[in-house]
Amino acid sequence: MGRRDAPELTPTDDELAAAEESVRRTLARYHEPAPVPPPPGLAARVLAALQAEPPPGSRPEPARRRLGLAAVWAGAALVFLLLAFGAWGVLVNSLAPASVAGGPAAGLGQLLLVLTLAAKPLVNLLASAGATAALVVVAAAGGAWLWWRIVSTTPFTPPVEIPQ
Amino acid sequence: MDQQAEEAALARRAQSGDQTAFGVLVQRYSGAVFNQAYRMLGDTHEAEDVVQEVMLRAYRRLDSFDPSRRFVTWLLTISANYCIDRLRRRRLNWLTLDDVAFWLTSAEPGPERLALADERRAAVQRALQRLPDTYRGVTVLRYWHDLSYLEIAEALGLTEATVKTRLHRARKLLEQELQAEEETNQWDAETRLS
Repeated sequence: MGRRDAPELTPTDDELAAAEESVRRTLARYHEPAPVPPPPGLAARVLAALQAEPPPGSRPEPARRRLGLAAVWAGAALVFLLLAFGAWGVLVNSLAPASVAGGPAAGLGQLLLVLTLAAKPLVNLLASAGATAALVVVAAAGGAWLWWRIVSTTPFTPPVEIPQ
Repeated sequence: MDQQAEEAALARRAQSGDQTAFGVLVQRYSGAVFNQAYRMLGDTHEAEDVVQEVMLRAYRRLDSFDPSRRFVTWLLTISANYCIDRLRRRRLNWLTLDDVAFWLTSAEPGPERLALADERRAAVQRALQRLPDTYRGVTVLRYWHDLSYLEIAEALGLTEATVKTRLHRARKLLEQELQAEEETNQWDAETRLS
């Protein structure tokens, strides 16, 4: 079975001409095709919106765009590394992050140890609640997303004033 | 200077920052883009949004305009693809506030019904909206904008053979939909009389 628009199903020129003639006769019965007048002032509004647009030749140089993209990737990589670092401490070895930062006795190492130990009970609580907690979180997030989709795609219609 | 050469000159001037030159093109073709968007999306407010967005995209991408093509064909290409994107996104909006708060839905006719005073033309528009998006696109560009098969193929990223096949099938579908419209109107008329 071929694709729906496979070449062997292409109509001949005569068949297509006959089909087009048929459509044009049908449309003519309905006074079509006929242009629908655009809203008054449409072109003026479009041009007004273009006033704020920089000239076509003055887009940001490609190098600046590449720099922006590199910054985004670097930020994403940093977040991933931080999460991996934290997971290593919470799930594998509590002292590991502190030892990397010069030991748990003082300074950054001590701070990292405190953060790791503070995160452990929270992670254990979430893990012990298990599937139920995950379901509640997913349901709440899904409901919030759904509500946001409904509200954000509904156009605002100002209330109509009824003349007295 | 023929029209195509004139438009190429206007596009070159617009590209170097002459917004007046681009304004001439906007004045000339905003109606055509509005019609194409309205036939595709079935909503005058959305069609107006499409005109804004299409003209903005065209202005930003003037360097990609090929002077050997008609300017209106290039605009309709941008518009057709943008409308298809909007139709795809519309399919994702499967739940709206109207569905949730159905008791608040107004019984007043919408702006589309008011804009198309002639009911027979409104029937064509309703029939068009019931065509699959892929058939509606080629139908509108062929019958309302008189684009050639090659221009339609280039606009929609299809082969000429595919355009011809879809036009051929669209004929039957459109006639079926219009037949259904006529039967519905007949039934409505009989119901009002009884």
